[in-house]
Parts: sequence; C-alpha cells; structure tokens
Amino acid sequence: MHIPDGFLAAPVWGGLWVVSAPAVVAATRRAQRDLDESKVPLMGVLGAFVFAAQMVNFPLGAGTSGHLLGGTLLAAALGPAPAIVVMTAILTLQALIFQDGGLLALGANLFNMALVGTLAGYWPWKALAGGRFARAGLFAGGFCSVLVCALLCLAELSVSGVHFGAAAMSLALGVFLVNAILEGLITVAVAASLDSIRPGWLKAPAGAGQPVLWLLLGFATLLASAGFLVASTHPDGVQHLAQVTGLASHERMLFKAPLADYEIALPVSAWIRKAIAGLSGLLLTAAACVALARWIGRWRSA
Amino acid sequence: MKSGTLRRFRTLEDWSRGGSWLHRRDPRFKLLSALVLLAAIAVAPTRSFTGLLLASAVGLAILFMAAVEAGLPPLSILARGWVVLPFTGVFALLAWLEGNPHRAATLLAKSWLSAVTVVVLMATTPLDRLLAGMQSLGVPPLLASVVQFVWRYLHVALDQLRRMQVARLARGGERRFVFAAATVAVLFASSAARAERVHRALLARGGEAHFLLLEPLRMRPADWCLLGGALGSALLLTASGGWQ
Repeated sequence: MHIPDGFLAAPVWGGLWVVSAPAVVAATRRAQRDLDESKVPLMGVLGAFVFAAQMVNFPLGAGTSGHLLGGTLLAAALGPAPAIVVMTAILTLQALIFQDGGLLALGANLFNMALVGTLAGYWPWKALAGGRFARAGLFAGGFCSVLVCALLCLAELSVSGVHFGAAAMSLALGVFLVNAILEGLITVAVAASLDSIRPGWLKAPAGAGQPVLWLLLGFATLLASAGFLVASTHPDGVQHLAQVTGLASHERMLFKAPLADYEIALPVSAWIRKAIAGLSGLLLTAAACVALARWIGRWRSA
Repeated sequence: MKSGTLRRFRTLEDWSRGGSWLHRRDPRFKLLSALVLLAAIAVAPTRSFTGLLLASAVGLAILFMAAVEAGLPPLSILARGWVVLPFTGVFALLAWLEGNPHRAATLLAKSWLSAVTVVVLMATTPLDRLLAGMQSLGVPPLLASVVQFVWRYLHVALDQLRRMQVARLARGGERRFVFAAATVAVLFASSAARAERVHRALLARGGEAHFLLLEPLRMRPADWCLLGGALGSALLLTASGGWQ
C-alpha cells in the first residue's frame, strides 16, 4: 500500500502534502508537549520494533502467511500523537532507503497510513479499552486502520486516472478485507501475549469516557474513506448531479482557478506552458505547506 | 527478504560515505535538487510515444552521469530502482490488458526513474547529514531524532529477531500463529526495556537526545551550481517529454 512516484496526479500528491505536512508538525508538537524526555528513545526503539515485527510471518495454513502492520499496536502503546510521529519516521525511512513508496507520494502515504490509519486504529481502541471489550476494541482498531488505508489508497489512485476494471477492483477489495481482518487478529494475539509477559503495557488511555463518540469517529472515518472511493471511481456521477442541479453552468464563474488545467497564458508553445505551470504549481504547493506549518506551529505554541 | 533488505541497506550506507564532488555537496541542496528532478519526472507530459522515450532517455542519462560522477556502479544503481516493480508491474499489466500499452510504459518509466533518483540521493548522502539538512529546512527536531533512533536500532531489532528465529529452528521450528504472536510480543517487551536502558545511558552522559554531525553543514557556491544543474535538467526532461 506504499504508493510509488509516477502514479498520483500532481494535484493529488501536492494537495495531500499540504494536508499531511502541517498535520504531522502538529502531532509532533503535541507529542513533545505530552511526553517527557524519556519517551523519545522509546518512540525510536519501538519504531525499529515495528520494522522488525513486520518481518515475522504469521502462518495462515495452506502455505500462506501474513504479517503485522503495527499502527494500531503503536497507537495503543504510545497514544495517537506519538504513534503518528513514529509512523511518519518509519514511512520516511522506507521511502528514502528501501524505495518503498515515493518521495513525492510520501505526503499521500503519510496521510493514508501515518495520519488517518493511526487515528482509525486508535479510536475504536479508545472507545472500548476501559471495559470488558478491550480485545474487541483492538480488533476493530486493526481492522479499521488497514481497511481505511486501503480504501484511501485506491481512491487516490482512481482520482489520478489509474483505471481498475470491475474485476480487479473487487479482487483488490477482497484482498484488503482479508488483510484488515488479519491485522485485527494479529494485534489481538500479540496483545494477549504481551499481557502474559507483563500486564499493563497496553493500558486504557486516561479520559476514555465516551465510548459511543469514539466508536462513531472510527466508523465515520471508515465510511468517509469508502465514500471517497465510490466518488472517485464514479466521477461522472458527480458531474451528472452538477448538470442536473444546474451547477455546471455556473462552474466557470465559481471556480476560476489561477492554474486551471495546468496552463498559463504565455506566447510560447504548449509544452513549455505546461512545464512551467506544473513547476509553479509545485512551488505554490511547497510555499503553502511551509506557511501552513508555520502558522499551526505558532498557534499551537501560543 | 530479511537478509536481502539488510544487504541493500548496508550497501547504500557504504556508498553514501564517498568523497566525490556530489558526495561533498550540501545535503539541503541535494534534497532540493532531487525533489526538482522528481517533480519534473512527475509532471513531464508524455502524450506521444516519442516524447516518453526521449524523456526517459534524458532522465536515464542524467542519473547515469550522476552515478558515474559519484564513483558509484551505475548499473547497480539503475537496477536498484526496480524494487518498485511488484507494485508498478501490477498496474502496468492492468493498463496493458485494458489495451493501453502507452499508459503501462509511462507508469513503468516514471516510477522507475523516480526510484533511481532517490537511490542516487541516498547513495551520495549519509542519512544523518540528510536529516540535519531536513531539520534546518523546517522538519521538527523531535521527528528527526525519532528517525535517527529508528535507523540506529533497526539493526539491533532485526538481529534479535534473527537470533530468536534461529533458536526456534534449533528447537524444532514449529510454525504456529500463537508462536509468531509470542515472538512479536517478546520483541516488543525487550524493545521497551532497551529504550529504558538507552534513556538511562543518555542521563548518565548528562545530555538530551540529539545527534551531532562530524562536520557542520556548509553552503558553498558549488551547491548553487548543483541546484542550477538540476533545474536545467528538469526543464530539459519536461521539454523532451512534450516532443510530438
């Protein structure tokens, strides 16, 4: 589910960088505020643990095996903000050293796996951790986290114009569903083992008082990402709706983007215009990232 | 997979400790140059097959020259880019089956060239210097030190996992779901204990968790040349992609 470079359209990876970069900065500041200094080595060493744990094969019978992804386990052990930081570190290393996911696509991969995936894994756990159904919370967390990642990944690819046939799409969804169930099962099995070594590693977070709210958040995330997938595979549906409601005729007036269709009016040949528009779009994206990160930084530390 | 992953990683690190012109450039400028090149590969319009071939040839030539300049084995560098094949291959095959071979070729070429660009960046820049550069470009220090810690203890965790697996094999090597779960749990518990020892060691040295560089980052005129070269290459690549 690590998207390499060359797949996503420029607005998709650019836009997701604009979302992910400030969100990761905010999570880092929050982790820094909430944790004491002793937790910095813990975050790093647990990141290395997740890398190693992903190499452990869980036999599933008939010669097949699966492995842990670990986002939910991290979130349950460290809390959401530090888990986001650790997942960001892992994904960055994977992109830089193992070419697992591209550098431009890192914004999208961070959004899917480090941000939304971690939160989707954390909320069900937070909802149920206090009561008798803690294990069910872990299972639901692992399940939601992997499924949400997969749905977002498929949606981003579809929006970028990577076509799936109906058969390939249903096969992919089936594989991801199995993976999601597996992640839930492995997370629960590891938690059970951990309890027999030393209880209290995955303890209920303080202030877990509103199970219904957190469960709703978890499932809303799942539904929203499923909605993104549906909307992205049927873009004609949205257009049709716009035509029916008469929005389409106002479209030009409503959305007059400065770089519409990635072309800017200069008296040179088409490809230079496209190249310059692409590069200036990139610069604008980068500037927006920096500005937003700065602003959030100031707002959080104020 | 396990030993292969580690070997790949170690070679990359050996390569990154060279002393060529490219190795000596400021990591911030190398990162920016790589991003410019990646963006050019991403936005290069490759509507015609000639354009795609031309752009790929230009990208290939740039990366090949960079590898030769840095004293790296160019063919190994190019071959390393093919780790994206399992992901890209599936989608290229889908596009091919849909009767769109042009799209399949574009996906393969773009994702491969992008991966090779990152390989060249990492083969000429030690990770600690790159992270220091990223930090001075605005990446939060906590995030940078967590990346350093993960990188530092990755080998320790993988070595421990290998010892545990050898021990399991020596005792019959039965494969069961619950045993795998227990392996992960033990790995977790000992990682947490290790983190505590690391923290005590830090306290014993009276310091906070931050990493030092042997040589401070310094910006030289040659770094601007590198960035200029990257911008020129990027324009050339995008331009050749638009060839009708």
